[in-house]
Amino acid sequence: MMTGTIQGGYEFLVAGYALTWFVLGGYALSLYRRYRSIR
Amino acid sequence: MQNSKSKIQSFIVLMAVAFFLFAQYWGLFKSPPDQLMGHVQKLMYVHVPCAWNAFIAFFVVFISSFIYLIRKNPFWDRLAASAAEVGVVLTGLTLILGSIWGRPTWGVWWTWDARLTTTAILFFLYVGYLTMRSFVGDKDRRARLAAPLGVIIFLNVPIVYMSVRWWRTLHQVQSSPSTVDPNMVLSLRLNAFAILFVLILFIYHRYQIALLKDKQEEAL
Repeated sequence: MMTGTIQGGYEFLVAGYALTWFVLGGYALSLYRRYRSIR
Repeated sequence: MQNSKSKIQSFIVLMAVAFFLFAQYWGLFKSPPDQLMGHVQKLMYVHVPCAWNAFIAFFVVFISSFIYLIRKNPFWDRLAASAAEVGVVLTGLTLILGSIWGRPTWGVWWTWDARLTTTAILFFLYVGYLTMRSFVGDKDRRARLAAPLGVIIFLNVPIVYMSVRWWRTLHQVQSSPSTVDPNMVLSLRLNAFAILFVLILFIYHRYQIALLKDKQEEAL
């Protein structure tokens, strides 16, 4: 049924949030590793 | 003394992570779906805070570069480089999140809309800034070359911000607590502050790496 509201779309929501955590977590890890390698 | 400083730093990191997770939970599960976009609209709570904080990072680059030009103190150059790197990460994330949000709402992953195009240009300008820095070995020369660039390329930030008003764009006008539904304001603010804390921590730790590198170079 057409309601004018986008139905579902959970895969986009999950992808967006998962990607945010992955990128920010990955960058945090890269900072940690670079810091450890220099010290 | 060093041990207690390390403990305080770990505590601050843990608090920032806990606040970030709480804000994400609130955005995902406690905020209402949009009347038109449904649950997909909740991507706003990551997309918009990433964009705002990327702007803040680039403003730090601008101010630091400007002060370096006057004072010639390496502190400002290190701060500019650190903020630029974090800003690039957040701008890249903003672009990808916008693409993921655009597919179900606009029907396309990408379009040459003014906001999208100017944001992509912004991303590549700062990638260029970081690339230029990586090519110059001497740190004083690197700082002298990077500072004017850090000032000039900031000009694109207000263009990106105003692009949705200056041109007819597919992208909606700026999302802010005054333009979104009152039920969504808390989630937007929580996530904006959560990513602001992440931004500050990232810049701080990236700065420590730059400082250690400079000390190592001086020791050689």
